[in-house]
Amino acid sequence: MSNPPPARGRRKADPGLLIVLVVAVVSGAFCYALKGPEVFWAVFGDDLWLLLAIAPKVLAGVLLAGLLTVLLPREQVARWMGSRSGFKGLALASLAGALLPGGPMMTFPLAVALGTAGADIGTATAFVTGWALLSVNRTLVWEMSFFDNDFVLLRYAICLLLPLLLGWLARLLFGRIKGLAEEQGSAE
Amino acid sequence: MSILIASVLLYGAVAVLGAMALRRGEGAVPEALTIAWEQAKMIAPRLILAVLGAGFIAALVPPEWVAAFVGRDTGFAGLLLASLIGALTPGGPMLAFAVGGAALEVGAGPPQIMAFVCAWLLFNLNRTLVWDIPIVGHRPALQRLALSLPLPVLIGLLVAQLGLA
Repeated sequence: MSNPPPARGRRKADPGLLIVLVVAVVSGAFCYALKGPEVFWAVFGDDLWLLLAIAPKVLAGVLLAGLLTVLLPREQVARWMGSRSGFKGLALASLAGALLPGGPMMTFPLAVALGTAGADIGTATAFVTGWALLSVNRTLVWEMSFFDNDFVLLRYAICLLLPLLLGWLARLLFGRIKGLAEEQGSAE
Repeated sequence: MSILIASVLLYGAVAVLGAMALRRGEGAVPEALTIAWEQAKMIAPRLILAVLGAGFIAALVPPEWVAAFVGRDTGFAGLLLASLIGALTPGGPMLAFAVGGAALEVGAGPPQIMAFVCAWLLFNLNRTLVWDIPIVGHRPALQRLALSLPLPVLIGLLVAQLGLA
């Protein structure tokens, strides 16, 4: 039971930065060495343009994340959702997963909080899957920056009901485990 | 075009939520701005490095390789391979989406990239090992993983069948 408090999340996120740093430096070096400086600088220039095009959306994305975080207090959402059950609980959990902004460092602790508030494995599964597949913030800021509209809309449409479906399946197959709370023992 | 529509949606949402936060008062707006600034500081270096890295990778990998391994005509095997690559791709959404978008441009099949994206979203190994299992515990995490496992290939098959994208 190594349950790190969410506050330690910031430090844990650093491997992610390290990974993209290594990927960028290594691929950049290979590009320079194998394809020559012309290709390297051409790619570099294209990437800068792409970044400029993306920048306004990222700005909007972080503003949205800040506003949603303030307007929808997580603990309240968890308590409110944890007490719902049935199909409605699954639907609300999927929706909350799609709307609540934040990376894994915020989402997974909230899934645990859901369990503590009384949600079953189905609700928790719908919530995490809703976040993974349908996160509005991630799709608007990142996915639409790199794929065209048709591709993104098609993916979103296909995935729209999957959180509900997975939550329902989880409830059906693993439902005997009453809540994540029990799984976690007396975790606070 | 894509960027324009998304921007309109985004800033519309920012305006609506911003108005709600303003009406609430109680320092809601400064708090939201502080959170936004913290996020921006975290995202900026990652985004820049991910875009650069994906661009260099796209320039390095021969297009005929991409077509051969995850091209439109690679069928089920290509979907399986794309899902596996998605599961193994580290870094944040910026890197995964940047790589997927770049792959599409150099000859990957849309169904295969759809499978790649869904696999990354559902169960990328990095997130599962660093966040999912340590925080929610191995049982619920693995249960969700088991249910999610077939989805990327199924979604890819659906996209290929429909002839969409």
